[in-house]
Amino acid sequence: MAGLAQVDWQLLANEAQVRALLEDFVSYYTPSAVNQLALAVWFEKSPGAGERKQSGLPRMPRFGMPEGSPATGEHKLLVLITGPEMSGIGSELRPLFWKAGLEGPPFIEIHRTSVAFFAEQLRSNPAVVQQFFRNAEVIYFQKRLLSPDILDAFRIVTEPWNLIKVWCVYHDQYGTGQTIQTLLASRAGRRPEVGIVKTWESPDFGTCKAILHVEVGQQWRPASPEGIMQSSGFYSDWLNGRPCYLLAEGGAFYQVDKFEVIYAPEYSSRVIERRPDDRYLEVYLRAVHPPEEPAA
Amino acid sequence: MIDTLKSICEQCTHLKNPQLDFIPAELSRHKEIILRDLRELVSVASNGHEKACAMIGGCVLEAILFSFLQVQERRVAERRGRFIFDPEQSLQNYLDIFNKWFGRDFPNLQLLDILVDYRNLVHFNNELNSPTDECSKAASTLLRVVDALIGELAAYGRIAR
Repeated sequence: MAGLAQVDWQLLANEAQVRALLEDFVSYYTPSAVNQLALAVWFEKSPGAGERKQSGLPRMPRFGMPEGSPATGEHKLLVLITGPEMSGIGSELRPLFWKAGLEGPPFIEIHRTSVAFFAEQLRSNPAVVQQFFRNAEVIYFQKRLLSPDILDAFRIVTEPWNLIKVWCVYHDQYGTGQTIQTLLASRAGRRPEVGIVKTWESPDFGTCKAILHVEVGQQWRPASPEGIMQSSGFYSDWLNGRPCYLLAEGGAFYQVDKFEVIYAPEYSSRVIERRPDDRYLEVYLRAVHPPEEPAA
Repeated sequence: MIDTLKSICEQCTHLKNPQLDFIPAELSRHKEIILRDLRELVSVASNGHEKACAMIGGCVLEAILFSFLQVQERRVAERRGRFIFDPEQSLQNYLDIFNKWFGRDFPNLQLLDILVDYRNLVHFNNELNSPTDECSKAASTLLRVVDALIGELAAYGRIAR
């Protein structure tokens, strides 16, 4: 590992500045009235990457720049948008300091296409889109607008392996003639409230232990024990001796037996972002089986 | 969930005695609005008004993050490389900035993505397409989160000064 003295701090500072400017640009970037921005990737970040390389892709006419103008940008951005499939990757130049009203260089070279076209190229012609993965950094994404293969290709990890997303069902809802089907139907399309990653399960699958997760910034991270205690209704229910339940996306239904805060550095391999103090909130669950049919 | 809004509110000490020292004197209008909204939040919660509690809770959450990030503009710029506070951004954007640049300062405070969904229950269609207990969950969660946020920021304000 390089010593602190060997780190080029000026380079790091410059990179942070450019990243911030690109993020600002992206936050104001509106593809059109109907299309949404799904992904922005800063690629070919190395110095001297301003020269355009021929990708071999069919190119659409450039917009926002006069014909014949030099087609180089110092900072390259791939932009994927929603909407009908496009037939190529269009490009345009925008000034990096647009917010300050400066029209000159340095420029951002924007490569724009649809999510569908990019996904198709990724499947059928991966060599053609290789350039977008060279020294690339994702600076914006909307995971619900991207296909799993694009998320994988750019190594956008939003949840740990084996995460089960669940909704909390309070005991005043359970036992009122609700079935798994009606509970699931009422939550269709709604964001799951918490996630669990099992760390132990009994051979008969009747009980299990799991690390509790929450969704922050589109990523499922282990819950802060204090945070969940401060803000969660189901934790408060359990604390007050009232039963609380978790309904998994797949239909599994659990009753919470207890919560436990544990110090477990070894759990860092099971989560996508370890807790700073290696303390995790573990939940003990017991499978329960509500009636299949509503009570008569 | 049996905890009534009234009982939750009684446990929320920061809501009833808010320390907003993280907002400097020159932003007195910010403080006035937040204090007024907090009084109204406590009032509607104490009376068990779920929808009003969820709506005002969402407003206060946005107002607190707005004020905090505006005040901390220089600190974000130091950490990020560059930052100019934009008062026209969305609650989601303020949550993202807070979680990204202040997450390490507040390891016990995770502002969840679902808070935006709760605030967005202001749109009738969103509530129509939600489970019947969504408004109740939104009200109680926002109440607790705003209380925890004020508590954490008050402590941060004392340290940062």
